[in-house]
Parts: sequence; C-alpha cells; structure tokens
Amino acid sequence: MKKYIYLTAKDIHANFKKHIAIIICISLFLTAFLTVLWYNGSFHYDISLDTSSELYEIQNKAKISDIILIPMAVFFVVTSIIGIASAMIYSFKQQEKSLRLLRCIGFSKRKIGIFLKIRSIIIWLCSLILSVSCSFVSVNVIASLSGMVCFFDILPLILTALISLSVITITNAVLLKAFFRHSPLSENIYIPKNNRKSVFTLKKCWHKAFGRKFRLQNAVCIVMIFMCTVMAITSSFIPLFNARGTTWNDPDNAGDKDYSVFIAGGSTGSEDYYIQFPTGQGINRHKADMIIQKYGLEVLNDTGGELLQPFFLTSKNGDNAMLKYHIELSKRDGLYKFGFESPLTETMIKSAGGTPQDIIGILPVCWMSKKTLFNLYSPNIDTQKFMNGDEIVAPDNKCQVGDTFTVLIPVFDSDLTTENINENLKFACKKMTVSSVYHADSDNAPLIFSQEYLFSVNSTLNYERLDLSANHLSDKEKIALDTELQALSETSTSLKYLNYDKIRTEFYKQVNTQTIQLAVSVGMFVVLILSALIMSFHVQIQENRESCILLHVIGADQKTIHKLLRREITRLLKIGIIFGVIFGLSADIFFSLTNYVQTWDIFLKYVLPVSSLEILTLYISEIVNMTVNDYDDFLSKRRHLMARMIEEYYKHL
Amino acid sequence: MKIKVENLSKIYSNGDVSVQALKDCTFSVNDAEQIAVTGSSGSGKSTLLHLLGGLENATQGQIFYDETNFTALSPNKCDDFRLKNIGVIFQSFNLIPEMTAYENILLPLMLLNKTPDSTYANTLIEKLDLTGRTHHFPSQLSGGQQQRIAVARALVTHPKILLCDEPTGNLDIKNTENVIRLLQDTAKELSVTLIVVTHEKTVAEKFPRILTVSDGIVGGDLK
Repeated sequence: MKKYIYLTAKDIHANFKKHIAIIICISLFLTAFLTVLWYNGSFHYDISLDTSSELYEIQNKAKISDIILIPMAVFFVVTSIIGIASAMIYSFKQQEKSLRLLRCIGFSKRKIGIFLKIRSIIIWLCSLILSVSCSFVSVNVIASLSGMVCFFDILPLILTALISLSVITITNAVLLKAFFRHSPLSENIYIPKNNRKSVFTLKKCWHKAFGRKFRLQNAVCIVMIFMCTVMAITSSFIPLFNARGTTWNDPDNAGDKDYSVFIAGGSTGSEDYYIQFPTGQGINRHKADMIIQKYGLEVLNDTGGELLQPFFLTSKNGDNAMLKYHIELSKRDGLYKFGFESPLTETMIKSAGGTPQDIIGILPVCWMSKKTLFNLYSPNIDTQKFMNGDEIVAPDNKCQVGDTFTVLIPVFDSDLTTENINENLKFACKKMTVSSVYHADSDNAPLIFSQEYLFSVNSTLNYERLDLSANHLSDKEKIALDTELQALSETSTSLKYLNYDKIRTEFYKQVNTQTIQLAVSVGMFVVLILSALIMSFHVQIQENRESCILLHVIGADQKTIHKLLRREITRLLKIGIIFGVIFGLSADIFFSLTNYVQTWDIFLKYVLPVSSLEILTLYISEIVNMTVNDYDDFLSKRRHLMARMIEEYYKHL
Repeated sequence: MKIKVENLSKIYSNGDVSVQALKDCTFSVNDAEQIAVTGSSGSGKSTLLHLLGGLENATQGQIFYDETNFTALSPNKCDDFRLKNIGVIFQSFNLIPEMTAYENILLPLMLLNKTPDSTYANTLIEKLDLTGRTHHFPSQLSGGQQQRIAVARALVTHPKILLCDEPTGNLDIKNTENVIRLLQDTAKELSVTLIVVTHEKTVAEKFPRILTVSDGIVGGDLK
C-alpha cells in the first residue's frame, strides 16, 4: 500500500496543474456548506426579542434568507457537482495514455483501481483542508461585514464532504469501467454517431469541433455564468428588503405631508423565532385623540384598528393545554422575556381556567389586526369543530354566565385580502353557551372564531392608521410632538410618526450601507465562480492550442484565431447571461410584487446599475483572460517553435 | 511558382546557447519542379521546409516566390500568402481530431471564406480513394487514410507550392509508394511545385532532383 501512496503522491506532484483543477472544484463544492449553514439557520441576527420592530426586522430577514438561499444552495451544489465531475474527467483523459502504458507494463486492473482511488482520496483530503480553512475565514469576514452572528455547524460540513466524496467515487468508477472496457493499446475516443454531418463555414465548423471537445466544460461554464448573473441581479435587490425594517412607505404618494402620524398595520409571523398569539395592533384611540386635541392637528386619514381580543373556548381547551404548552416551551427555552401586553388577556386566561402561576409573564403576545391575520394565515376554519352547545368565555357587557346565544364563525373559500374581504368573508352561526365572563370596557364587539382561538373584534379601541397634518406647528412644537410620539412608540401601541423626507433619506442610507455589505459578501461567491470560469476557459484554450496552431499552419492569421476563440467564449457568456437575466429578473419581480417594493424606482437606482456592473465585469474579465492567455505566446513569442511543437506533440501521442 | 532562396540562415538561440540550423543556403526551384530534400536527422531539412512555409522566421537571407520577397512580408501577409499559395503536409498528419475528414479537407477553403467547390473536393476525395470515409473522424481512420486527407487538405485551395515534411514517415511501404505517387501525379497534373523532405533514400530516388542538407548546409544536387 505504501508504494501506491508514494506513487500517487509523485503523480499528484508531477501533474499538479491538472489536479489543481480538481482541488479547486472540490473546494468550491465544500464552500457550498457556507450556504447550507446559512440556510440551516446558523447565521442568526444578533437580536433580543424586545420590541415589535425588531421582531418585524428579523422576520423579514429570515424570510428573505429562506427565499434567496434555497435556490442559491441548489445552484451552488449542482454547479459544484458538475465541476468536480468535469475536472475528474479532464484529469483522467489527460492521463489515459500513461495509464494505458502502466497496464502494458503489467499493472493489473485492480492495481490501477487502487492507484486512482488513493489519488482521489488524497486530492479530496487536500481540498477538505483547503476549503475548511477558507470557509472559516469567509464566515468571519461575512460576519464582520454583515453584522450577523455566525455559528460554525459541523453537520453541513460533513454532509458536503460526503457528497463530494461520493461524486468523486462515482465518477472514478464510471471512468474506470469505460477505461477497462477497451484493451490497453486501443484508443478510447467517444464519438457521437448522430453528430457527424459536416458543416462548411469556419464559424460553425469550429464551434462544432469545440463543442465536441468541451461539451461538459461548456455546460459547467454556462451554469456558472448563469449563477453569477442571477446572483448579481438578485443580490442587488436584497438590501432593499432588509432596509424595509424601517418601512418607508408612501402608498398614497403623500410625500408633501411633512409630519404625519402613521400606524404600521399588522405584522408578519415566523414560528421559528417567537410564539405568536393572534391579537391586534394599532395606536390607542384615546391617546391619539388626546394628542390631536393638544396640538390642534388636522386628521387627514384614519382607519379603525379592528382590534382582535382573544378568549378561549372552555369546552375545547378546558385545561388550557395549549396555553400551558406554550408557557412550558417558553420557560424551557428561557429566551423570551415578554409579559402579557393586555391585562385583559390575563383576565381571560383566568376565566378560562388558567392559574396565575401559569402567566408569570413569559408569554409573548403580539397584537394583530383582523385583516393581517387573515391575509397571512388564511385560517381554514372547520365549522364542524364548533358545534352547537359549545361553551365559550365572553365579555360581560354581552352576556352572563349560562346565557346561550349565536356566535359568528368566519367561513371563506379563498385567501382573503383587503380588497375581497367584504365579498368573500361569510359567517356561520352556532349556538354557544357562556361558561364564564370577563370584564369588557368596549361595546359592539362581534365574535369571531378561528380553529384555535375565539376573538372579539373591536373597531373602536384603536386606530390602525392615522395620518395627521402638523405643518402649521412651530419648530418647537414639532420637537415637543416628536418627543411625545417617541414616548408613545415605547408603549405597546407601536405608534410611529413619519417625517417623509427624513425617513426616505434614512431608508436609502440604510439601503446603501447594506448594498455595500451584501455586495462584499456576494462578491466573494462571485469571485470564486469567476476564478473557476477563468480556470475553465484557460484549460479550454490550453487544450485547444494544437488545433489553433494547426489552423495557423494552414494559413489562419492571429486575428482569425482570436476571433474564433472569442466567439466561443462570448457564446457561452451570452447563453449564461441571457438565462441568468431572465431568471434573476423574474425572481426580482416576484420579490417586488410580494413585498410591495416600488419596482421601477428601485430597478433604475439599484438593481440595474449594480447588476450591469457585475455582468460587465464578468464579461470583460473573460475577454481579458482570453486575450492575455498563454495562447498568445504560442503565436507570437514562440512562433519559431510552433511547427516543432506540433511535431513533438503528435510524436508524443 | 518559382522559388529562389538566397543566403538563408537560421540560428536557434536559448540564452547563451545557440545552434545554427541552416547556414547560407542558396538554391532555386523552377516552376512545377519536383524535388526531394534529404539528409540525416538534425541536418536542418525540416527547418528549411519551415522557413519556406513561413512557419519560422529566418535569421538571415531571403526567399522569393516569383517576384514576392516572402521573408519581407508581415506576419499577417505571410499567413495569407501561405493560405493562398502553399500547401503543407506533415509526417504526423496534423488533422484536427474533432472535425470530420471532410471538414478537415475543406478547412483551408473555410479560412478563405470560399464556398466549397464540391466537384473539385469530390474529385480529390475520389482520386485519393477516400470515398465513404469523409464523415469519419481522424481517429477512426488508418495512418495512410489520414495522410491522404492531409494531402487533400493541402491541395484543396489549388496551391502553387506543396511542402511535405516527411509525408511517409509514419506509413508502411505500400502506403508510402501510394502517397508519393499521388503527390507526384497531382503536382504534375496541377502544375504545382513539389518539395518533399525525407530521410528515406527510396523515396528521394523517385524524384528527378534531390537536394542534400548536411549540418545546415544545402549541398549539391545529387542528380
């Protein structure tokens, strides 16, 4: 075994340039674990779940990471698998003659098999060390640039290492099988039978010949260019989503309003990060009215909060099992430091059979409007679960214990939106018995059920959105108003005030900062892919130099040969970029539609310049790479050796 | 086309080491003449052929094709001249392995942006006994067949000069005879000047004129 390892090490040393291609490809593949790590959630934003704004931000980022990184991970892995296989085939083909010679002098199939397997494992191990070191550095660089906390997870590393080993083993086995099928002295050249029709223009003929030789490499290049382009386009879009944590939103094009009171309606949810009870959100109507009166503000627009007040079905949750479950979960994790936001909730839990010990104050409760709730979760309510005679807890201004009355259960067939809610939302009627009551300080609150919760909708408690004009105030009064509104923001009302100019500026400032951060992070991947591309083109040109020289011998000048080579590279770039642009733009449009980002404005200011720049860099770097390639040496500097080299090359064959 | 070579020298330099491959060669070849260039290995005969074909630059001296000073041409004009006037055949065939035999034959015409003259190409193919093998790749052909394709490729542009560097070096006796006969017949038929470099006496003797090269010096005409 020792002699095989020695032989393999010598072989790798002697053929370093050939094997480096494999090492880089495998490293590329293993670096994919970064992506997998990220997707797995090892890259968490360092936040404490203190305020709703932070929750909102992390939810957005988590969602974006999921959307962007799943396809990224898939691209990365697929490209890398093709890359490794391609490099293995390339290396094998390069050494096929030497292997034949080994067989001729007495190496058995088994010995050659052992030799190649050991070589593959050594290359794999080298790449493992190389890529793990690079990945550690990358993780830290990304962390420092993007403000994320990164956890190095061993599982994805093991997974990717195993996959790369499998790809190597399978490719090796297939190549060996094909190799052993022929006798040691016969050439094993794959020629497609259905592809022999001759073509009679130089461009087409060269392209066909080039394609026959570099079919797999070309496919790899196209996938990599495609991926590079998609990343260039989509990555320039990512900061815009992230920046939406500040929610600069001017839907009515009301940029002329100087100061406005704006209530962010609704919130998004992610089960991964916090426990969410469907509740309402908005500004306390009483407090808002007081401020309006105090400063003499003009109300431009107001929307009712439609606050949902939760209470529990005692017949379904007699022991409050679900509530207890969440409390236990929170206690166990020890992560959440939330108290109940409404004393009403506490009352209801007590009424529903809970004990004060259960609600010590570790359960997060967020308020949510009815519209948001329906839009995001579209609960498919099974009316069969709510039977006549079920017991409920109800507000004391509606009924007393023992009363039986009709409640409304929302029923709808399709997803509800703000636009179609009035048409599509219907209510089923059920007779319910009140088992206990709680004190309610509002009236006219209709009852709504969902699968797990029972709500009371109250439209008089909160404003969901309130726009006020404050232009007539003096600077001093504006500062006082600012202070008062800021103080209000710290309450559970989630009230914000908007100075559109200021927020617009802040929004784009944040976008710019994040654009730089993300451009650097994504740039690292792009550089990696570009390196692989340049390497691949380099190999192609090197591999094709004999044909180029031959053309030159026949009479083609340098310009013609350059043109032919450039056309091949341009062709690959074009295909990859066109597909990449189509896919990238589709993804961007999809994101922009689902996130209500003003598409064209953002496209013109950010996506178009950033992605164009990246694609241009890709294009130019390839052309420059081709132009300054060693190929030039063959035609100019070493021209006098040209014919001799051809002879030597063919003699070697 | 008449060839006139005057004081042609070639020195290969690599750092301090320099080797004189050709020394002050002077000779001329008449239009449509057929000559063989012989000599031992390393004597400089291949270098001479490469200089004649513009594949290498001469250190000193001049080559005239009729009135054209070939050595004074710019690299691009030299390439163009070679494409239009000179056909080159190598010992190792030098076919592009990814192109079919037919594509290899038509390659010079493609470089000239000319529509392939299928009648002439087919005549060549028939004459070279390659019918039925045109859509094969070089690796699927025998050595003799590959060399015949190289001959067809060299002739397809109607060159005025045919330079052959050990064209039979990789062939058996039967194929050697066939290829030499083919070259001579075709050159005669098309009035092409034929220069064949060979180290085989039997091959050289088939030519009406033989030039010898020894230690870089072109010697006298053996015949």
